[in-house]
Amino acid sequence: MNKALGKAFLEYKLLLVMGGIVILMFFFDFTFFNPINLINIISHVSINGILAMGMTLLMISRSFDMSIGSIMVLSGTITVMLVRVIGIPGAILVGVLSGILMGWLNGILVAKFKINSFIATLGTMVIFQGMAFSLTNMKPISSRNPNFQIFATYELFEGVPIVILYFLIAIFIVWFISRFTRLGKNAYDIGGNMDACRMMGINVDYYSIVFFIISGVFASFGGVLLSSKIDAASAVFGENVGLQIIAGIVIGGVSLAGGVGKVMGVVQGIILLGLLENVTMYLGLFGYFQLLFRALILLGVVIFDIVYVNVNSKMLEKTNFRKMKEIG
Amino acid sequence: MNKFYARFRLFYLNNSIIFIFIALSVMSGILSDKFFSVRNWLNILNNFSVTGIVSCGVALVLIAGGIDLSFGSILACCSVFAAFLEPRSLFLAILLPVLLGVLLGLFNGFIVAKIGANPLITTLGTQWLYFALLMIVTSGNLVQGNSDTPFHFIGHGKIFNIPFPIYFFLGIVLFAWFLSRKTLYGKYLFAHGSNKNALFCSGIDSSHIYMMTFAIMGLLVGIGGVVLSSRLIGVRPTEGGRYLMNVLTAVILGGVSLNGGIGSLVNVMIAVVVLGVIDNSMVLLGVPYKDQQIIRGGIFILSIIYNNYLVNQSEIFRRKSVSQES
Amino acid sequence: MGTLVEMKGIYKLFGGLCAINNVDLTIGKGEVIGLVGDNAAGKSTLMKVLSGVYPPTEGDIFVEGQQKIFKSPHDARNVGVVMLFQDLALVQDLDVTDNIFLGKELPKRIFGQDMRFLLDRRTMDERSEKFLRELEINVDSIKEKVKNLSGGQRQSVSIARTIFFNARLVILDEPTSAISVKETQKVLDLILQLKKKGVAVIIVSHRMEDIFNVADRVVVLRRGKKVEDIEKCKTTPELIIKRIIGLNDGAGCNQ
Repeated sequence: MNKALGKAFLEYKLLLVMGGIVILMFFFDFTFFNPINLINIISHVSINGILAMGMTLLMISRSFDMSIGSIMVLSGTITVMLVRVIGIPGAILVGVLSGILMGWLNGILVAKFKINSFIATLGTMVIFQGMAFSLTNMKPISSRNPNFQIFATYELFEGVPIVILYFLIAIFIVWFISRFTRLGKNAYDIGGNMDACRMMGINVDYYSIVFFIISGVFASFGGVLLSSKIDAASAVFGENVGLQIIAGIVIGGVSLAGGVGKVMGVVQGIILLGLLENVTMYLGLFGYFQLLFRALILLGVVIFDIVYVNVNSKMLEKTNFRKMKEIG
Repeated sequence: MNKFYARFRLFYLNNSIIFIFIALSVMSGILSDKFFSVRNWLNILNNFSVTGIVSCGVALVLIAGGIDLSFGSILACCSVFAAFLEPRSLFLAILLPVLLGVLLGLFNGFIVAKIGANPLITTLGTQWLYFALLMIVTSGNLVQGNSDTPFHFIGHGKIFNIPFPIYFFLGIVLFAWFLSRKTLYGKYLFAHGSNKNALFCSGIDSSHIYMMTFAIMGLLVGIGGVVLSSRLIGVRPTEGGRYLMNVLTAVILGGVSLNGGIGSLVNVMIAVVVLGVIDNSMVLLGVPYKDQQIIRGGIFILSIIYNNYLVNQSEIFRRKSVSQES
Repeated sequence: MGTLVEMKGIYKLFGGLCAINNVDLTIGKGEVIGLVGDNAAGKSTLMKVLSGVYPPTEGDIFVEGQQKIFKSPHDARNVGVVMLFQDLALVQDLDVTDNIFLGKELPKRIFGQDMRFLLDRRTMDERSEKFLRELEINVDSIKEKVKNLSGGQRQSVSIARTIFFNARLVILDEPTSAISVKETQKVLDLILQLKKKGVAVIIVSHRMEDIFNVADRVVVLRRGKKVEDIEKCKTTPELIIKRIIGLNDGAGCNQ
């Protein structure tokens, strides 16, 4: 009984934190519970959420992609520039497909050239952002085509933008992959023990590249959405996005050591970060309080997990020893 | 003769950055005749002195098997604190920011070494934590200093016609090199990065060594912060962000392994100068500012690939020489 | 031959898993004991408890009749109990001297004062070179990094290290598992040398022949329990293997 309770607590601790925040808001400002605001929170985190979904499998397989912020801005830039040349559908298609190329490059560097994923994607982060700098001449650019914005801001119902639908589709795709496909199972296996997988004949390099490509495509889709939402692209939009997403995924329960993590946990982590942002705005606090809260949540979750595991295993050792003695 | 060749080859394979440095310098020298003037070189060293000081600290953390992303925020905190204290007391403006750096580093070290959290995520958290606190305290405003106090001398003074920050840079490199190569702590530092279980089994408190490494990084970043503050006169809280990429690039180019246990402070220093040379020659050659970043990133990736190739070669080379002997 | 170390009623649980279940073990001075058992029989765990890596859940350890509590390997080392882990004993990126002196560095003397934070590398090099020559261990250079040594050389160096710590009981975890036949003989010779110096040795191994080559006594663990503790001359490898897999072992089979 106690065990089940502990497990449930671990599983839903993020929901508990969110619940706590919501209850606190109840006392401060009742307009917070306006449905428009709640939809706002979700639609606000949608783009980050899509990026996080893309990287979840990659992080489960024990790699990172620091460059997704740069992939996002470069794809956005390409799309915005092409809207004037080849029209909206073509531009969106090319923008999303460019993510395949960038993800593939990351994957090649990590899988074939055996560079640590942190270093490799740090390098490509600089390069992709540099390309965006070059293309935009270091100024924000716009497509000047009013129809382009429809792609991200079209309202399904009154006040429900289509980005939420994209986010839900992204969640579904990654959840489906992680639960029901060989690709997803391999992500967990490779993250758990890469050498064993290699010896079992799993083509680790191939899967690694595929995960990088997935991450790249989701990031570039996010980039296209972002540029469409505000009809603008700039090379500085993506700074720090990679680290933010990694933090969100870690808060969502994916271990940096690989092999562990759930898609729904990541969704919770991302929404929690969005909630924090919204709450700081609602309370009228200085913008950097949001960063402070985010840092505290991140450190809190990381430390809590370690301490919980230590305390729990010590308690288990004691109770089981007592039971064993009683039985004889 | 053969033995001499083998030695040279091993040295070359392990210290590729020196040869990258020479090749780049020769290339830049051919392309621009201003490159090999004393003034230009002093300029390069002076511009990259803060990067160099911080890189030494970060290199130590990487050798110990950790990583730190928060040094940019620590640097910003220390330099803003120095600028704040500077009108009040010269002595305190030097001492307290350095102490602050040690404390912030120690906090990282405590969470990473004593509690056992992952260093990347922990220092990502503390990076935001320190930066957010700094922004909240300063409201994001520029902290103004004076330009004609003795404090100003640290960043702008000259001794024997050589800018003062260069002395700081070289002194810190010497200090960090001595610490890592000649002292008991240095030996344990490498041992911790390579195999901390062996340390633990030899009865050495390895987590203490690890924590101290973060504190020493904080110390060096604090010193870097004081120099930076004195160079700038007025410090913006966002100043630290620029250093993240440069410092990590320098440390990794310098051949410090992300897995820990391998690295040389002298090579890190050369890598810092290499970054300086790249920036400098791009300016001399008139590469447009908007394109510079691609070149920087490209050189970074290519040198990592090249370095990995050399490390592989040196493994093969060693195995050959071992199998020949037995 | 007096008793050196005595372990009484040792239990060790990991979470819910019982790795060591009420084991007693006595080790005499200068005795060589072979500790055998199937995978996950609790051999390594028992040795880690003895060398202070894990605290026992319950049970006492006596060294020369005095009760000791090992909170860390450091405590165990102080009374002369040293464990050499498989591939864990040495730091690959340090050279031979540094490894031999790890944890017992000689400080540099400046103006007659010991500078504890500085290393006296030259004296350490000289002493380790002389020391290795005495033990007839061949390494190309004392300055070679350990990762460039062969498996047998590494094992020899790590055994030599224990003598530097004035060890009275050395625990070897699979000392011969990953090295060639020729080098195995060298390592076994070294173990006999340790015995001659009055150092007790426990060998954890899968290789019956090695154990029967050097051990005085064989101890068998099975599922965390001690099922055999017998002089070497009173048994044979075949009998021991039967004990390991649990044949003729009614009590063990029922559990």
